[in-house]
Amino acid sequence: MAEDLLERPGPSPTSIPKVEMRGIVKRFPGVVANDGVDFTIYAGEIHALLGENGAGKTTLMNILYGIYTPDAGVIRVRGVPVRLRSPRDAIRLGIGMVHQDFRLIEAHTVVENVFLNYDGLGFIPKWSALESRLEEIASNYGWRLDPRARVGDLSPGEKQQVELLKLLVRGADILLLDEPTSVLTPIETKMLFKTMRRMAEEGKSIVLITHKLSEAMSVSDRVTLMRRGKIVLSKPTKEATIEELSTAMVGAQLIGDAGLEERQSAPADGAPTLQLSALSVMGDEGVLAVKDADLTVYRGEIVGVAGVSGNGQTELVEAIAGLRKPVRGRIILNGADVTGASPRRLMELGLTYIPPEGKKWGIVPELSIYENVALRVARYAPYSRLGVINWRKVAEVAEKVVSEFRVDTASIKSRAGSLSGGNVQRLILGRELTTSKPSLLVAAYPTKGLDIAASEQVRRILSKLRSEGVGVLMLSEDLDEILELSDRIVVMYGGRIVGVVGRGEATPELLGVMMSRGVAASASA
Amino acid sequence: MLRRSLPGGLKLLVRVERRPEVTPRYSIIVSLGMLLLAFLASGLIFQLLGFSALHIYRSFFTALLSPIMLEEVFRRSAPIILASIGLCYSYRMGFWNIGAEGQLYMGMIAATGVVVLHSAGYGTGQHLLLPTVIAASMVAGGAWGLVPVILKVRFGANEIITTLMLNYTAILLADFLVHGAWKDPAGYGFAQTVQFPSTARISIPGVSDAVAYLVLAMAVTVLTLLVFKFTVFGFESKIVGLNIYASRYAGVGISSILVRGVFISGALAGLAGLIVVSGLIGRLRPGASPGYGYHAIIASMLGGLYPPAVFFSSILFGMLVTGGDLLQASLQMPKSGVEIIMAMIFLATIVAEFVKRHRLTIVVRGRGVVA
Repeated sequence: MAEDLLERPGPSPTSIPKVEMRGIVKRFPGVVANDGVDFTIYAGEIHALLGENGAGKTTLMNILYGIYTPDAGVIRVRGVPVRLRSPRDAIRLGIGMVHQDFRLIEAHTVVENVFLNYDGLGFIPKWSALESRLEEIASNYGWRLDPRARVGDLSPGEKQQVELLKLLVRGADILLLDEPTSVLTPIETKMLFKTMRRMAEEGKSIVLITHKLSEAMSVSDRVTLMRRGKIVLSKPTKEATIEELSTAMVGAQLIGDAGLEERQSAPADGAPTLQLSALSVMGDEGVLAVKDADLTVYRGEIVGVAGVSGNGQTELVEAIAGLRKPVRGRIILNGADVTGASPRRLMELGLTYIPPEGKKWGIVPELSIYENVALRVARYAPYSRLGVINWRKVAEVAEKVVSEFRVDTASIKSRAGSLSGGNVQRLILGRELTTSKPSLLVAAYPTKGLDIAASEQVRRILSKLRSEGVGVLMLSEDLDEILELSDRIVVMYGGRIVGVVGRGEATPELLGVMMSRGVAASASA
Repeated sequence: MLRRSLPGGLKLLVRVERRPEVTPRYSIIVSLGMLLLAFLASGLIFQLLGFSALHIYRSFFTALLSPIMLEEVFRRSAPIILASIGLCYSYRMGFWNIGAEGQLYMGMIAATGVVVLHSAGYGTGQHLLLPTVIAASMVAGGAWGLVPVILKVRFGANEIITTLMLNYTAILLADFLVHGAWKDPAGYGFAQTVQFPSTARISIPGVSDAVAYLVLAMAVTVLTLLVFKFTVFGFESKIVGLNIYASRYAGVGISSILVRGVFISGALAGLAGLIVVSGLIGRLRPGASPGYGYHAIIASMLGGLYPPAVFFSSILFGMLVTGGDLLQASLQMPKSGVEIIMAMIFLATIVAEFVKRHRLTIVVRGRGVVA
């Protein structure tokens, strides 16, 4: 079936495909990341490559970029069969890739970073020539980028432009962008899409690797969907529907759940569990990141914190979790003043914190799953007595966590680092919720980077906690998620809480205005 | 990456890849293999220097395994075992303590101080002398280790540098005392202190010193293994070493774990110092330790921070230290010959770490497949 879909012509029906990948197979120990994949890229198109984490998208693109060599299959670029031994080969053929994590030297300027990848400057570099070339490219796409600026001082969106410059200056016309919007604000994302459009108009081909359906729908000409190493669908975007794509993406798993309907009911009239008064927190740069924040979270409600990233949300929750000492103000947890208390004391008083970047903060990847469960409980009876750990008890609770929270693993002795992002998040949530009875759950970006099914499960867990009378404070970059789950929405801008909007009044437009301008809308009363 | 063309258009590719999982068995095999390579490489150097490597190794090991020499090997191994087991506590927390030598010297100084006072008529009676010197040496070694911890926690000072510098401080302090205030008045002007009385020596009635030390070292090794495996402290110290973010998040008291771990580390080095000064040479004098604290660093690395393995790798270093004197006496080879072997083992340990984590994959590819 996939075969005849691929025979379908691209945007310019007569052209030879720019890239044709046929029957690509790539195996890693224990998995087949690409299993006979056919993929075609035409000139002048934005081609969205969709799939959940681990579907094989990035592997396929790494093969096209020469990072991996396929175990089988043929690659043709502009009709000619090629062998890509390294990115160098790919670059020579006009293929360029922007990785999810930037590969830039922060201490160097834009022009110096570009120079590192460019050998058209001669032995003694003619900086001015390169600078003016960069300025020319930047203005072509409407970027305001100073070639002499230090990369460390640039915003994520600008860093991405530098990555694109590195490719464009070498004349790349097949651009592979791996999850390019994951670090961008909504405005920067819009800007990037505009750039991509312009590039396509110039005849360049762009592959947008993403797991966000809405992105694929809004910007691409064609969409190809991968699941478990295989192509399951490939068609012009205008013939595809969101429903069709999301069903194809998760396969047989159902999306949506009756349990979420209960959430529509009014919140339980609980007692306050968390009270912040005039809380100010210092950021990493020595500037106040949170300014005079007042907030109360009641038991049995979900409070969503919305805001463009970098407006103090992370520092706010880190202060609540005891990982950052506030400079002013007070934090009251269940009636006790816990300003400046240690994470351990907060935990013992009923706070559970779900950190961002689970693999960095929440688990120790080198250790087994049961040791990661011990991480949180080893100090307490019955898991230890007089400082001696009872590993049998730990293993028992670990088994419980794994089965109740559906952590997909062969055994609790497996390394936690081998789990996928969704499983890590389920492990963290499961560990925290199985081993403690929180009155307040603070979750920082709990669904970030998770696939649809895993996100849905996390959301379900949060609303279940809410109905059990737990107060939930949640950060999310996904406005839809905040709107869907929250009873009240707090908007942060420039370190201040600029408004609190109730469930009924919140609309994406209203929140969007508050997030981007910091104007406390009249509805916030 | 390495490429070889084979007949028939086939290509042979050799790649270095990260290993997904390192099993303990594989890890031990690699360590032993690299150890063998270290001896082979040292042998090659001996050969190039005009000695017969085979002869050296044969007489080296036959002599060392003779009952008399074996006893000396065990005596010399004891301080290395204690110090290297101690270092395991530091290293598993990611605290790169290379100050075991200084901590060992502080242990020697403190124990000697008690004995000097005792001989001058101050302090405890004979029966309390041993517990006092043990406590003094361990507390002094531990406290010396805490200085870099405080500097790190308070000011972010790099412990590799501070621990190394404090080694020289301790060694020079010992020199200063031995040449000055603590010089034995009846010592014919030699820079050395009074002899340790037999009541200040660790011993087990009815067995030789070597056996007593070995029993002590074994007990410390087993106890450490149990601490690492079964205690909250052992577990949390591992977490601190592996992921400082997760430790903070999980509410591990990082500073308190560091303080406890490094104190134990220094205290065991201090205890090693007591054995040197009370048992091996009987008094404090300049250069009392030939670098036991440094040998311990390599021994703990070679043993992969696993106490039983560290125990045996320390005995290997005990053999090398003892064998150095042997080389000089019977083979007319400079004592520093063994330092070549030690350096080779050190290099091999570093290479072994890389080898353990990577593997070579060999792929044969035909011409038909475009890759």
